[in-house]
Amino acid sequence: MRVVLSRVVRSAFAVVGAPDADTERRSRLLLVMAAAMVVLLLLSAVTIKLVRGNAETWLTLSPIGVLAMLVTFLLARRGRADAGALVLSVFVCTALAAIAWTEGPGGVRMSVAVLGVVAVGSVLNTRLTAAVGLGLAAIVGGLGVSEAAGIYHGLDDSARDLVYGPFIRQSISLGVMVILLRRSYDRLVLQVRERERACGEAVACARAINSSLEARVAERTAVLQHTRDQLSELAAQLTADVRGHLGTIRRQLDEFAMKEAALGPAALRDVDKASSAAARLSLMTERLHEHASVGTTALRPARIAMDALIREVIDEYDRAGTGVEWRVDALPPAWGDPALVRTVVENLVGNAVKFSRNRTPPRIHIGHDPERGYFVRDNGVGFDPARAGNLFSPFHRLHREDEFEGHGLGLANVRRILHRSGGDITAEAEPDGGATFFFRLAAPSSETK
Amino acid sequence: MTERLFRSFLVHPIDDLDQARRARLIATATAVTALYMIGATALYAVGGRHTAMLIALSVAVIAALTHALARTGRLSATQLATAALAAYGALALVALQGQHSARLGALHIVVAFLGLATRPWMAAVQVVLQIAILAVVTTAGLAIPLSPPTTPVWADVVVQLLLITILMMIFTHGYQRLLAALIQRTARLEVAHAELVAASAQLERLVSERAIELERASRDLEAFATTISHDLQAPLRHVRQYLALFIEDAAALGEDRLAPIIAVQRSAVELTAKIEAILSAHRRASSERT
Repeated sequence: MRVVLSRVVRSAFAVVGAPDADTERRSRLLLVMAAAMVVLLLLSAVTIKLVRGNAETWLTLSPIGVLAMLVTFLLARRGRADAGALVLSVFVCTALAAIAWTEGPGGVRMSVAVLGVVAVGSVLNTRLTAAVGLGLAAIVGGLGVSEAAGIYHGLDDSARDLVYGPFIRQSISLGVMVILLRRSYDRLVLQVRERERACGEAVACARAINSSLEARVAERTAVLQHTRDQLSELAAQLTADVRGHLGTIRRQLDEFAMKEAALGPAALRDVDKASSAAARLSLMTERLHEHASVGTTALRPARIAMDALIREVIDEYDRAGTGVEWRVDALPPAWGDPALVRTVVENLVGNAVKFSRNRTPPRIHIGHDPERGYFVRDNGVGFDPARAGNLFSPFHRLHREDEFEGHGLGLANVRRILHRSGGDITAEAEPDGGATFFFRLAAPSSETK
Repeated sequence: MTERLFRSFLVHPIDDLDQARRARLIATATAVTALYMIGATALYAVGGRHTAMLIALSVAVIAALTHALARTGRLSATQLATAALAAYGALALVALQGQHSARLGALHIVVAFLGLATRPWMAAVQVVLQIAILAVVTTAGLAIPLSPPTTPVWADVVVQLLLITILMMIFTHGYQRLLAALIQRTARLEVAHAELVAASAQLERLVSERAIELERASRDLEAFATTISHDLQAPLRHVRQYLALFIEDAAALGEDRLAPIIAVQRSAVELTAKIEAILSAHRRASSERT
């Protein structure tokens, strides 16, 4: 879906995004203008003899004009609208100055000056238009003043021409030019509007997709919460029911043992064993309750100085005199719920101490691997990697209970905590070769920062 | 009919931004025209040229009316009024100043204005009209100009040049501004879209994260249920077995003294059944859910 979306967007933005949409169109307009001017100049050169005796100016200007228009044409073809417009402007100014000089600034032909400004303006460059228009006004004005002062006298051959002849030719050219200009402008605006509309649709589409995604997230979150609730419900139900019954059972067994104490410890051995089995079960249900509640309390993530945390946990074991040889590397800080991360560390270190206590000396190495995260490595009894798959399942034990005490919930708890925090845990070991537990916490996300 | 003929390649509907710009342009131009013609009227009045004064006054009045129309924002009526003003203005100009080509350059400005500010076909019609006026006037040999201008032609040309420059500057500037506004709007949309796509990616990641979490939670739940059904039952079984052994060994004590042990035995059995019942109820619930 994302692929389709990005394709739609790319096609919508390709033209608008390019800064040259405008230049491109202006170049095309210039192209048409230059071509039209060439035709106009050639026509004038051919027909000028028919209406005018003195045609030197035009006959000189026409080839230059055709050349200038060809240059303009080539520049426009290469998309260099402003450079082409400059060449066009220079020619327009030169031609009009030449006409004004030879025929006088008040000659019949001078209204072509208006046409020249419109032609330059059609490139849609405001500054260039202003320069050409004001420059021409200055040239014509200057020549007019010079003429009035008697410094200079233009050739006045207007009598040979029809008085309004040039005007009609100019008028028709101007009409065509203006219509072309306007049409091009309208098209460009429409094109931009069209892109805008496409853009708006793409935005609306993306918005719709996002809201459906949001709905999916909400739905999945609800299902997830429900599943977690079920687990804790189940645990709570079991705990509540079992606790009451077990209490009664243990009390009755104790009372019986007390009352029949006369039978002697040997005779009551089985009752004792039954009682301790009931006690074990009682402890298990308590642990079960704790395990289930890991999934339901809200996380309060914060920055955790792992060095300090590890130090605290180790100090407790040192006070208890376990005789472990510790090796602790410098650890980067972590991001997570401090209470839960502490539980993780306590469990892993506790396991390491527990399973290495038969060694002399027990060695535990705590460090950080850039690839796999924090690790706790011991030289203890290890485990068979083939059976490690169930290592993190609740109540799963790889060692007999009479060897190493415990309820098989420690690692299950650790994994639940890490999964809930967005992290993970892996283990590697070999029988009798020690075990290493790698764990990683989630990187701080932007929402929780 | 004419409009339909030209519409195919001339007229395109443009958005409001542009319409407003055009109405403003027409309002400004007609105001300038009206003021200029009022000035001309006054000058003719002082010079005692009454016919010329009346013609100038009528142009001023039409220009003022068009300006008022433009101010109301009714663009199509304004455009038609502008075209009428242009047609009448051409007639007045030829009547007042005669057929001198360079002096008629003022009419070029009118054509350009019509094409750029109103509808392109109006420019084409105006060109045809101007040529027709000149043809009629020349063939009929009317007694014009009514008021031969006193200024030199080059001064007229300079004024024309200044006016057309201003018109083209307004048009090109307006065009650039409109384009910039539209591109900016599109760019804003583009940014909004990019943000939405990014949010989309984030949401998709969230969905898959939730899916993984959900899978883990379900697996946890199942593993939990199966292991506890086994692990909780084991100690209970031990309780029952040890007590059975005890009852066998201590049968001599008699039923009365063994009654508490038998009661415990019974409640251990009940508890086993209860755990089993809870777990099977849970299994039913989760199979209904999936």
